[in-house]
Amino acid sequence: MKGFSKLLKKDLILILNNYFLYVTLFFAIFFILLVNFVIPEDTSIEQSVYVLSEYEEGNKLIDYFKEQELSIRTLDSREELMQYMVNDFNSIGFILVDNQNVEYVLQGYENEKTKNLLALNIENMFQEFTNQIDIKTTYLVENNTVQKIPFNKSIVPLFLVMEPALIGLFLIATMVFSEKEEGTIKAYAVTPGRMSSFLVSKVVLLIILGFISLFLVALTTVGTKANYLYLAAITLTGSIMGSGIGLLLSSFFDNISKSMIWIIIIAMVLSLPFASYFAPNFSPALIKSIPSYSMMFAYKEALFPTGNSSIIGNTCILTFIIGIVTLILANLNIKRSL
Amino acid sequence: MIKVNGLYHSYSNDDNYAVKNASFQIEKGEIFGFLGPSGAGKSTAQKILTGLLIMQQGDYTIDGKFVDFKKRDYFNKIGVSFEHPNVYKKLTGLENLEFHSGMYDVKTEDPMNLLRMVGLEEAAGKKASDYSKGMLQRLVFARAMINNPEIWFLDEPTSGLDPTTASRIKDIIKRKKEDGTTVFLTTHNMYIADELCDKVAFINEGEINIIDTPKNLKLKYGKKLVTVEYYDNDRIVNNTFSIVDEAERTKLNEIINKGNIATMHSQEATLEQIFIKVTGRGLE
Ligand SMILES: Nc1ncnc2c1ncn2[C@@H]1O[C@H](COP(=O)(O)OP(=O)(O)OP(=O)(O)O)[C@@H](O)[C@H]1O
Ligand SMILES: [Mg+2]
Repeated sequence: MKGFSKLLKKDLILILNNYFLYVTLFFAIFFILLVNFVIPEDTSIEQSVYVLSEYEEGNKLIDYFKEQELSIRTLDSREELMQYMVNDFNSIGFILVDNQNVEYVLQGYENEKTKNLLALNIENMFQEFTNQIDIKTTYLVENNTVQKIPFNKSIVPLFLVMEPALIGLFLIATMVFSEKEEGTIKAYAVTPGRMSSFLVSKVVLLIILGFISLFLVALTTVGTKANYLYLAAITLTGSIMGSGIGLLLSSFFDNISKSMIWIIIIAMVLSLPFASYFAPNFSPALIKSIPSYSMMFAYKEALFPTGNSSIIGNTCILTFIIGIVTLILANLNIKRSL
Repeated sequence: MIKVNGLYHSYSNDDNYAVKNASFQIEKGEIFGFLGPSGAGKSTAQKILTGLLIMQQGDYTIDGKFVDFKKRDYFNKIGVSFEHPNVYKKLTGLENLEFHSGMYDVKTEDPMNLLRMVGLEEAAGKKASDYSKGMLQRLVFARAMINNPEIWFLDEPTSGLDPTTASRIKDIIKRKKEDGTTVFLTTHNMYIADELCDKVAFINEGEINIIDTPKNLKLKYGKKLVTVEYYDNDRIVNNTFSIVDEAERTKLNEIINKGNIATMHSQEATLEQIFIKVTGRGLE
């Protein structure tokens, strides 16, 4: 244990002298500023709705819509309505002809589905207004604590995945390569210290860095609403995985340039799931099987809890297993290319 | 006593051997030198005995027991000084030694004492990246003493050092020997081998040609020599002749008779001259 604390102390001194650490910290701070001050909370593009009533009763209906907090704009003539809509590509319009008939004015690019949906919606509102019937809406996600995640906060999980799984992986790999190039790993290999302790020290180092960056980013962006126990668990196992892969990679080569192609491939594979995060429909099974995919959603769940904690448990188990397996392989392999 | 028998090593895992059928033994408290030119296989042999390279073929026993590199206890007993100064450049000299001393299960030397021994006490708090080549060399040397090793592996311990520092290092090695440390030393410097070693192995192209004490080698091979510099058709020629050998003495006589001699002196054979006789090549 005495030996291990010396190893860790050495690694801490080395990392404090590594410019890579400062790049990482700089990114974390840059990211925090970006989320809090640059990216808007809501970037969904609102569709404008233009309405024209051609009969007296219709204006009451429009007032009712407005009470429902619908952002609609009332106009005075068909010409005016057409003019506004031509200038605003992302808009729809409807004209209340009389209490039997409603005319829709569409841009022409809307598909059948959208049209039907629109028709149904407005029909609903009419009925609601005239008959005062309650229309009950049932959402599939039944939990009523579901809140809408502001857009700027919704990218925090991506950053948290990048930290241990991507940046940390390379940080650890560069540290091992630097020990190989300086030959210090050879000096260590002729002491009674074991290679496994050498490797585990790097893992612990990455866990410490992962925690620092996690708390820094999570506290300043999401605040205290997040579940920090879960966050810590994902970061812990994610760091074990990240360092395991980094150590395994560096055990195969004697310098970083020989390993470059693999570093790039691993980086690309691990960041593929980011695409699915923004386009949830794009998630083929292959991408779902990449561990950063489930890490992403586990972080999301821990940051914005919905009660679906099974994804967190599964992710921790998955990344922990990958981490341990890669570490065991790294330990078997590292002596081959000191 | 250290016994090495039939040691081979091929980096390419074929019959292109960097070390070939090397066998030798080292008594306790002896300084054993591997003398040979660059690429002879000296460092390769040291790396095998320190577990950095896999023992592909051969036996290595200490006091009759096979050395098991997997048992880390062997490494409590050995100290290794490398030919390249492999220290943490981002750490100070003192931090380097402190880190290293933490790896041993046995009692270790005070790092500051060691730095003082090699003349680095002033530089103890400086980062190793600010050290000169010679200072790094001394730091690596000091590090190899930290666990008071029973067996000391020194790869070119004085190469690149100025004469004063080199003699300081040599004194430390002599003192350690007196304390009973067994030393395995590699060098391509015949003076070091001559001055320090109890026994010298000549190694060339991976093979040991001869093992003996420097004194015996000189008795056997190094008969009195005369080095003559003379003019031969306006060209200056440098030649060494043995005054014991009949044919060489005749040649020397001819040159003297011609009277074109620039300089002439007699000397005892150096280990390098003997090395050339035995292996057919020089040490450089
Ligand atoms: N890592 C390696 N991979 C392949 N070949 C190697 C390696 N290290 C050394 N060799 C080869 O093995 C032979 C012996 O090298 P070694 O380093 O043992 O020589 P040496 O006697 O220590 O030389 P020097 O005096 O220059 O240090 C050389 O032909 C060298 O090219
Ligand atoms: Mg060498």
